[in-house]
Amino acid sequence: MLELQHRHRWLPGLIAVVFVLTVIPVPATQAKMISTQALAAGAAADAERARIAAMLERDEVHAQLVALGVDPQAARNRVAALSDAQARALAKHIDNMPAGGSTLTFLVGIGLVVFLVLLVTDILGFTDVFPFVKKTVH
Amino acid sequence: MSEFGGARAASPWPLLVLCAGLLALAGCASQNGPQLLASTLTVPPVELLDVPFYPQTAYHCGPAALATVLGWSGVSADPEQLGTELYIPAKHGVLQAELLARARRSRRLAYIIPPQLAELLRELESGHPVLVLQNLGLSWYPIWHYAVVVGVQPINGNLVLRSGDERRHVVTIETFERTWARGERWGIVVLPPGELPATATAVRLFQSLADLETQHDPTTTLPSWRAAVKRFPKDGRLALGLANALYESDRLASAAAVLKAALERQTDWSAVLYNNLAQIEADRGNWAVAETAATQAVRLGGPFLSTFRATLRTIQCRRAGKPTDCEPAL
Repeated sequence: MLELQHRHRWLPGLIAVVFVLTVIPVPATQAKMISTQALAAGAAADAERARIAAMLERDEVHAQLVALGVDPQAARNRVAALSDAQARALAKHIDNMPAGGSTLTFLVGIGLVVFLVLLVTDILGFTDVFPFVKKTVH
Repeated sequence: MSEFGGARAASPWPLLVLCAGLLALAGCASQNGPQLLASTLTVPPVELLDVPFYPQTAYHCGPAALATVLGWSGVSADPEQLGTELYIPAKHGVLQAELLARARRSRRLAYIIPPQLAELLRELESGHPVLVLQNLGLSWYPIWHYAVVVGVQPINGNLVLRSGDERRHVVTIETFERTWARGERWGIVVLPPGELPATATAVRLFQSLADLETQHDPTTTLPSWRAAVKRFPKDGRLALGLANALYESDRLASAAAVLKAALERQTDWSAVLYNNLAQIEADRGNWAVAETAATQAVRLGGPFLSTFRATLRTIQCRRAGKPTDCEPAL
């Protein structure tokens, strides 16, 4: 059973793609303005494909944000605010992306060795962790 | 820690300091050195005094930095509220992409500057504070931090930042360069409508404005499109963005005028400009002009050719007075 579930993990994604492809009307046959968004995405067909991919990627980002402790409803709004390119980047790399935090709270959990290393590198001007260190680099 | 604990009896201090020194040198050697030395600085001194300051609380350096640049751009923002909106618990921080998205939600143009100190200084010189991501620690022990660069003191070789709980964090350019390089020299400017980044390129400006427009009606972006076309008159995409924003605002005559002027300047993307001009002129009832423009678009071709053909066919059959044939027959 477990193996079966694992083997068919791609199925929901495929169903979503098929669904989206059949529901979204083909736009190219209608006379219309080339929209700013279409031009930003390249050719019309590319734009449509990118839009579908972005929809799936947004779901992925939503799931990841929830897994990282964000409230599901808030995560939905946050994902909606991302541009397609950003959603794509986050879907792939959210785990490795830096998240700017604080210098204050990290001190609580810091080890002595790391503290000393950073103190010395701060004094040498390679890092900038401790506000009380006066830099010697001129 | 534990392996060092056992060595305590043998006084680990000299060893530790030696290790620290070696690690620091290794860290320094493995990255690009400072791109611009203080001695070669030729910029005038700048300090943007009207940039507000929000001391950060707990993990909230991202929201504090964002509130700082938003406040400067004319949007009053509460860092606590921003923190609630943007914080990611398991990461103990805020993502760059979400800072950009949040700035756009406040109707501000968020623009990533080129990753060079000289470009950052150009923005400062133009009066724009730059929100930066730094790794204040080491590559193997990152301490990610957002701050806002508000000043440069070329004589002392220092930068002035709104950072953490310091209103004026003065840091040498060398040290800043190292901490900034460890964050891949990521910096953004957050600008009010109509104001453009000093370091803007036409392509990236177009993308930033297109991103901004996905969330707001064109009245938000119109002033910036106008300024962009003025600065880059040869760029067809920016002209199209301006014309589309005018069209969406039901200002058809202005939209047509923008496209005609751009086509006279022989911008790139002229096929797309002709197509949209054809559609606008058709909406205005100027069928002859519309057909000429649509014919031009089809003649020039390109990736949107199928749309150009459809535009031309629709205009031709409407002109011929057979609207029933105008619906897509392919």
